[in-house]
Amino acid sequence: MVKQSKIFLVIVIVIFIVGIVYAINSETLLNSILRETILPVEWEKVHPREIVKNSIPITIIEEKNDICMVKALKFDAIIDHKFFIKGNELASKLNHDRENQTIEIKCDQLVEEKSRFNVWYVTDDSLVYAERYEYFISSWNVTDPHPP
Amino acid sequence: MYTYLGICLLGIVALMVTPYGLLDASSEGKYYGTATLVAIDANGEETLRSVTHNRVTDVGEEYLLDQVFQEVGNVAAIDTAQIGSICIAEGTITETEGATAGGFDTANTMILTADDNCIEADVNVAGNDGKAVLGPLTFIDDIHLVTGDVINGIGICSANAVGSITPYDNCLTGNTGAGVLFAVVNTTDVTINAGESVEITYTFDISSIND
Repeated sequence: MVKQSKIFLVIVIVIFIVGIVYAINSETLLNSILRETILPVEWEKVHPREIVKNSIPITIIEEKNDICMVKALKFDAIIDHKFFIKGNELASKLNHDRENQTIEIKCDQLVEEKSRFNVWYVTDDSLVYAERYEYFISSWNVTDPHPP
Repeated sequence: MYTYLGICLLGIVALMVTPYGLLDASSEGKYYGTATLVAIDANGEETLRSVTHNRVTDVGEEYLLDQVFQEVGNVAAIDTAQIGSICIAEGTITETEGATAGGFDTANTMILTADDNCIEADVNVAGNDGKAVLGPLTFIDDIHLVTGDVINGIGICSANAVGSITPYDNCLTGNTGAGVLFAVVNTTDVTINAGESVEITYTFDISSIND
């Protein structure tokens, strides 16, 4: 009896593993939950009217243990916008210093001495990816970059 | 014990593989408008670029339909002044469908000054893949606004009926008192210091997926 139960469990575990692989790669509930919370935003699936795109110049001030403090003038204007629900979360993640107008990012993310710091977010009324945001750094000369 | 565990796992698998399609909002054919705002410092360097969607007002929707479809008794309702101006604003700008040109102007503290906060654009929609583009129009410190002003809203308004491309003051009276507020944009706040300017482009897009 115990042996039969073990065989049953092994079969179920195999089904479980196959189920996970299938669920992650198909239009399933698990896939949906992961996409709305953890996986990167698929920007082409968000209607353009529900995306707010911002970018500002950043320049290196100081480098310490691969973390670069950069000047980020007008970053506060981005995070203070009423559409950006999670603006404070981003500010905290980047150790934003409002007084000195600086943020901290990994030095290897910087493209050049003066780079373009992009913040894209989805408005809260969107049917997909509501309130999600991403930031990325691109070449300063490219005015309309897309997340990598 | 193993059986119960197996049954639980099966239940979890059943939940995980439940079909649940992600809505692909990009395939919707909804029209939309966006304003691209570029702040430029006194040295001519870009300090902020922001693309924000608009809210088309009820009046704007009606105006659009009126211009295209309205015809009663074989008489078409045509207003010679098109939607062709961008007005910048500071203050508590209402960003709702019920917003009007008069309300926009009343809330806009910029019009209390002598500066002209509206600029008319030349708009040519032919061969533009279903898009109307106003601008880029440049709003300059000491000409269109006062040093220290904070731009926090944009109104997309009727062109100046007088036919002048000279900047003018306010959305409603710019068109001889009958100006229409087509859309309003709640922008990222931009404080304009001495010698600075802001470049604004408004794009209204009704293109289908295949343009």
